Amino acid sequence: MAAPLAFRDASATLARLERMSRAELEALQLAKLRAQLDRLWQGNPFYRAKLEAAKVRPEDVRSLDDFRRRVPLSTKADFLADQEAHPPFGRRLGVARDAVTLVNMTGGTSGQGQEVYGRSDHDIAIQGYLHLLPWFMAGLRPGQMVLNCVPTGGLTTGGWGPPEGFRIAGATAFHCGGAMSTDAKIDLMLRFGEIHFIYASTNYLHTLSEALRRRGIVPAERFPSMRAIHIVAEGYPMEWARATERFWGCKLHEGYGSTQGAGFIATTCEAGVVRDDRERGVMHLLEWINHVEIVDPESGEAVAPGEEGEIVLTNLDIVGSPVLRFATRDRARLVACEECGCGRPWHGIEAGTIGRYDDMLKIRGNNVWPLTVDTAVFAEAAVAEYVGRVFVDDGGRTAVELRLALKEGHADLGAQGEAALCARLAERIKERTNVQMQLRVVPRADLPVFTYKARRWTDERKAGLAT
Amino acid sequence: MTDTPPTDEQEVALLREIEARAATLSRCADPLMQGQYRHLLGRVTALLAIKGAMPGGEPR
Repeated sequence: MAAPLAFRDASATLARLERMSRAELEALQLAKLRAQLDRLWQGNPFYRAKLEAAKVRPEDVRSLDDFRRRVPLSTKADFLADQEAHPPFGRRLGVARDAVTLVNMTGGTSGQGQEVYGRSDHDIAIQGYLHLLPWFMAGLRPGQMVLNCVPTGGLTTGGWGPPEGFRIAGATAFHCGGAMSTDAKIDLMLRFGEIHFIYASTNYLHTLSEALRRRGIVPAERFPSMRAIHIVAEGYPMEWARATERFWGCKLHEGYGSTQGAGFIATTCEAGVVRDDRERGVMHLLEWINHVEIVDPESGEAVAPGEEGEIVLTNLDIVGSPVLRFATRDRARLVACEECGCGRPWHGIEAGTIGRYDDMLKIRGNNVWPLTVDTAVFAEAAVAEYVGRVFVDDGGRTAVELRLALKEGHADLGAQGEAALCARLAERIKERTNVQMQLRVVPRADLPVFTYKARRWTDERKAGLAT
Repeated sequence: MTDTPPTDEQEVALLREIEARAATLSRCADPLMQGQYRHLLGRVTALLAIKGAMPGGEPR
């Protein structure tokens, strides 16, 4: 692995925030929050109405606890209703229509509709910074060569933030996500040779690693200048993270972000996603740019460190289509800042385990999270990909089928080896989900190749019941 | 002009100066230049926010 960089104090601007006490950081958050509340009260009719309905004025918020207790949550449904009543941006826009120079929209994968975000020039610069900052913390420096494997452009923040972030980082970036095949990306890496940094979805990094293995290329030997890989979007098992670090010969980092956060909301420090070769890493919250609460989705109370809860988000530096106590439906485990050991006063969320409350599948009375199955399946080094299907079988019972594809070097397990693998995995999944699933191995070509976020699960129960 | 790097306070003061000038430029009547000057102003207000100098920067 390349020699570690001196991360702390690498930037005078950041060092001020790294060396604050927790109390100083919370005071800064509160000052920025009060300024944002004042601004929204004056110029954002959507939030003015929301605050008035809750009988809260900005001056009533004297502490972060006041904010949590008195300011109501905002939801996706609120935003969609606002857009419907006041198209196209809703009254939440909060800046002059002609100050909007970029429109971002959420993906619409929830099936409820797409939120619209009108961003000003100021916001676009903040979005760029909210991408640069995690990469800087991971070791990216001006002049380094970058492979950006996340598709660029389009309507999402994830398509626009990264090119802006790499540009202001002063890096030399290849924005090849979505534009080139995996083999063409590898050819590009071989052609330029000196690559320092890769940004990719968890799933795509897996695809890229698989393709390199197929071609007999060991990146730790072929690309010795690699400093870090930054992944986003999906969880993973620790075994996968450790194997990936060994294969690439560099640290693996992870960020958590969203359109609502205008970029990354949290990111790993120099420890990366694997701490001390055994613990899951901590994604530190960039709390002075987005105020983050982790709350029990039922009670609305803040969870204790170590507990899981819903991420509730408030922008402190965004002016166009800001969010105030937005209930993200993202599920994370809170980690107190002291637990990481890096010394920063920024609390965090556990790396590798972010899930969606909306993703949960109710199977025979059990709550099954796709991430739980991912973690069980990808702990097997032989598995390249899988897809899951929940359906109603001929007997009218809910059944689950998992189709697995094996990596190139493991494709000759034989019928006995495949059966043993399936049995082992079925048992592990049953232990973790309480659901018996049917597993079978299929050729790799039968399963999709995901270039960004993986959509591994289909629920066919409604269709099955209708026939 | 000296080769000495600016202090944190000097950085913020310089950004404030640039902000004022960019705000003036963004009132320019030439539509070819107007968007570019606004872009410059947005960049500067964001840099001030990043430096911690202005919570919740406003486009002017």
